[in-house]
Amino acid sequence: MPTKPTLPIRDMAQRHTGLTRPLADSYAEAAGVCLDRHHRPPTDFDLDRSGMRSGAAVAWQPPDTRTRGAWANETDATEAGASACALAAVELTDGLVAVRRAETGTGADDYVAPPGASPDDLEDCLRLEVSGVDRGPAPVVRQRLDAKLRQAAAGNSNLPALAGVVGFKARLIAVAELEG
Amino acid sequence: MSWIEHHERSERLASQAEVAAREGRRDEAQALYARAADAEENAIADLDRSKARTLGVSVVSAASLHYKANRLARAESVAVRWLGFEALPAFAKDQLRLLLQSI
Repeated sequence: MPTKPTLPIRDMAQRHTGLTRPLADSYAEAAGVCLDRHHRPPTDFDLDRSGMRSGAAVAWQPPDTRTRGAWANETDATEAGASACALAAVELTDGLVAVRRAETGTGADDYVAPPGASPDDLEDCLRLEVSGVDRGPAPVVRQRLDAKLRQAAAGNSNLPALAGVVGFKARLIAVAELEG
Repeated sequence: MSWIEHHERSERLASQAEVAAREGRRDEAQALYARAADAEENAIADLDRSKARTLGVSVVSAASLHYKANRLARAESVAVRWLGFEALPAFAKDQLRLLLQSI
């Protein structure tokens, strides 16, 4: 039986050139707080890449009281934790890494591209729109994905896009392409 | 300036225009969209034409920003000119055709 891959939420700055180390560590820390609300490590997640199902094990350090306090704002924690998990999922399923942050108003959170892509143009880039669902079940995650795809379509940037939604309690990460 | 510098300037101006539009400052929004469109056209001018995907993004952005600035003739001109460019990616041509239908 093949070994289930690990969702690569640790040391993301080493691979994702669009993330600084403090930002990547902050995302990973937030992901730990979000996961700790519902699970104990390690936890298996389902990955849904445009209907293709797979799984990944998620390992994280349970946060201490100080860390939980620092991330007491649930919205901020869910948003940052979802960024860690969605970028890691796209790295796992598509081999793409964050290369730069999208400007506000482009309907996207990050530009992702294969490792080594030029940062000076968008030849290899896709937009990635990320969202997190804390308590909602899988149907809510999929509904959010549809909404995110519509949002990406309405953005200022017309670059082909992906949307990724992370359901922390549902243990589901759904990623899909915006149909052009 | 490089393509990326012009493009980032255009994105910033477009974001400011959106804020102005949401707050009901219509004239200011249109002026900002016009500046964003000009910045995007400068980006296109500085781009290597072999970078088709980047070119597609820039051309659609420029045409859309002219449209939002209510410069309809400029929007149409950009769209028509670049629809004739064979190497433009399909996603960009589709969006330019949609824009022309809106003008």
